[in-house]
Amino acid sequence: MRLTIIRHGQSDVNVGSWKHLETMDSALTEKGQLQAAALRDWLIARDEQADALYASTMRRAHETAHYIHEALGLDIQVDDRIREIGNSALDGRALPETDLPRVFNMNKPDKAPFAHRGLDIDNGESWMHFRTRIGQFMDDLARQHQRQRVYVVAHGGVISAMFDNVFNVGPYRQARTHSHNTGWSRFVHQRTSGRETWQVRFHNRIDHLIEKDLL
Amino acid sequence: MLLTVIRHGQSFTNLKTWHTLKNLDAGLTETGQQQAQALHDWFIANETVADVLITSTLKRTLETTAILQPALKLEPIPDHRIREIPTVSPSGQPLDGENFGREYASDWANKAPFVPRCSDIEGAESWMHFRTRVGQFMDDMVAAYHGQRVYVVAHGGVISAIFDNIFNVGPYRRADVHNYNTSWSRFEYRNKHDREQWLLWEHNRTDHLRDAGLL
Repeated sequence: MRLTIIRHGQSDVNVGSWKHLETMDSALTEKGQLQAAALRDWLIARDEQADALYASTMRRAHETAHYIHEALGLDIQVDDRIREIGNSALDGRALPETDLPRVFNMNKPDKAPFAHRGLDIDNGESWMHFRTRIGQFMDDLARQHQRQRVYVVAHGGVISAMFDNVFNVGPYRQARTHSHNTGWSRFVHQRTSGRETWQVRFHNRIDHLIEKDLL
Repeated sequence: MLLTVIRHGQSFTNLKTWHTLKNLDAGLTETGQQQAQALHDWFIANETVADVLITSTLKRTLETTAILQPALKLEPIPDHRIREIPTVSPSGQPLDGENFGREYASDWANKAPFVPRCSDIEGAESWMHFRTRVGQFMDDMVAAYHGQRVYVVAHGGVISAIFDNIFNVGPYRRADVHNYNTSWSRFEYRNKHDREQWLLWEHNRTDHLRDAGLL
């Protein structure tokens, strides 16, 4: 399986303070829409083909996925398990929009991987809960899409959790990853070759943003 | 410290005919020279500024560095510790190109991290020996180049070992990384107590190859 994971375009939660936002499930900004359209055009120009397209059920990812749908011609399969950290219940289902956390634990996963991330909700998930739902999603993908090309539109935290899982990192990690809005990363799952199960091919490719001056 | 690691250009050891070479410390092919020149041109076009330039001492990296050097305008610092696996003895002595091993162990780092990589030479280094010398190099860089922009010209295996070290991967790893010749990857070391020490910015960037029509 060749897995390409795209971070959503710029959204309201990525610009300045979110304290005054009406919702934490925010939509793309105008720039975010342009970034997503640039990636769509870049994929079309390369005649990119794929077999499946998944998206997080958060608005900023789902809106971005619509542009990728236009490039790939695939239906969007939504999955709550690839929402950003803190935004799912412990059973993996989406939290109601009105219950999304706004106050976050300042201790990051390197120090507090088992601590609740959202401080203003009850029984919120930790980094390791989050890694677990991402891991379940990845296991299912690898099983269902052997030898296929899969696109996933999700979040910066999801990409970071994928790195932690792919590299088999312990809970108290010492590295994180940065992803630009609409930057894409690519992993190859290669269970049969006698080599490592996963190969990292790219991280944070932004050719489409450089071309259109949208960094 | 902002650390940019560049893989060397295509060399004669990257061709299928590598086993016909008498000396496995081989230089760049014409394609490899063009790739390095393209990166040189891209550095100039993007007004790239570096504070330190370090190179592996194998011929393919020395030749790549010589092509890049006029763009970065720094005297390259040679370091044996970032030569490719297994061209250094476990005690840290660089091997001569005529004495490199040619018979590789059938199991790779994921299955046999402690096994000598080559069976036809005395005391070849294992993946974990290799990771250790790359780790010593990284520790020394972190100590010496605080706040600086460091450019390193090295090898695909070195970049993979840097990933293993910054992600704190155990010996029996389950992920490999892939790099194009002259692609670059970027890491940042931040000595801040409230976050992970290492940050992965980008992996396998090849903008210069695209611009030069070399992909």
